[in-house]
Amino acid sequence: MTGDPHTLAGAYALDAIDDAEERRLFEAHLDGCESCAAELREFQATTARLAMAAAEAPPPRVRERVLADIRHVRQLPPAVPDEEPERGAQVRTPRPKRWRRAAVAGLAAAACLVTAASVGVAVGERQRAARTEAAQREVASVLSAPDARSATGRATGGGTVAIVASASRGRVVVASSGLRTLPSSRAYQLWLIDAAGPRPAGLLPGDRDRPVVAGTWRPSDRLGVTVEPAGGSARPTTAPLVLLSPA
Amino acid sequence: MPPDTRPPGDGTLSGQDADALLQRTARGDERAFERLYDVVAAPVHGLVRRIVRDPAMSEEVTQEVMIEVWRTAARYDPRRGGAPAWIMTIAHRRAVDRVRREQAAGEREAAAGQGPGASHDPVGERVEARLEHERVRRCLGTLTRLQRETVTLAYYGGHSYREVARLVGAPPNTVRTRMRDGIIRLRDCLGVER
Ligand SMILES: [Zn+2]
Repeated sequence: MTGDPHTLAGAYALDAIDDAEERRLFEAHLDGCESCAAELREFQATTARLAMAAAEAPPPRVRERVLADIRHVRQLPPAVPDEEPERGAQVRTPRPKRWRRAAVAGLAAAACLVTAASVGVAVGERQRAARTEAAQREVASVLSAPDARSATGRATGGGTVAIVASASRGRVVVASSGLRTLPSSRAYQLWLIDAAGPRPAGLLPGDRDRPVVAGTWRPSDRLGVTVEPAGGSARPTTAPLVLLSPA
Repeated sequence: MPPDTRPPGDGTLSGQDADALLQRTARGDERAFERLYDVVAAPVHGLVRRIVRDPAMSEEVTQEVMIEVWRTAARYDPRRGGAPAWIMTIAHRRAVDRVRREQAAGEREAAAGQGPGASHDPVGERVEARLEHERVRRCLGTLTRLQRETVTLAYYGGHSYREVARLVGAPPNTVRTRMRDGIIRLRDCLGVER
């Protein structure tokens, strides 16, 4: 591990340490460092709030499947002290003994969660406006990036697609005009394409005058637009109408 | 979530209730798990969508996460800082694993799981980045640009701090420090209990 382990709590709470050995070393450090352990507890309650801020109700079929599936899934018994973490659990936390009770933090997080859940049920105008504003700010952030690059192209069948991409922001802004109207069963889907192939990057909104932000943009990427089923595809099923690489 | 699936007493759920639901789940209480699902499925799915992006794949991951919660509920330790944090950690881990697996598999038959019924619900719609929670949005706005970028690229983008370092063009050690500074600022702005 390079650098001071005390600074790793942030990356750990963000689940941003992909090196298993580095993770293990930090977990060992947690066992002996109460200040890092306490900090991490707060940090994980904080990052959970980021998840709640992005709340989006899954389709009801997911609920049906989950509730049907658990009837066939055996539950694990409680962990015995000092046992290695369960392989499938994928939750990396230090030994429970190191954790003081933090019910208050949980309370704050859960209170927020209820708000997020309610938002998921009734997406009111206020939330729509907030979302639009957030999107606008993200657009502005890409457009103002010092390394922003742009490209514009004519789409097969008519219309224009313009992009502004920033590697430092890791995002690309996509704006279109004059694309032909699609039947409701179809949608314009964006792709980020590099040597490894296309990655799905979202759908163009119905009101296509609104620019959208897609990511994660890498410097070697090109952007493609295809016509797909309304729900989007995992891989392109039609030829791209336009392919753009910013210069 | 349709009205008939809302948990009774919805809107009054406290953190202790969420913990209690998880602990009842650990004892095999399917009703408790159903209620827990109704409260956490939207944040789980929203996070998964941000990271995985593909709608059909995101549904699969959300499903995996909730089944994992059921399976490992007995391993949750209430002293550890709240059921939601524990569940979101599972969700993030699963989503990132899925993305990495897909990237490794490259051209794999990713479309196979994408039946005709895979079009997702119109409420969820936008894959574009968005935040529904006004307060978190405002608090993210108080971070410096580099703090915000490193935090959101890691959490919503599912990138490791080394990948984030490459994306923002900063040394990994700097990124680690900015991530920590950024979360401290978020924690204080959101009033997460010290
Ligand atoms: Zn420490």
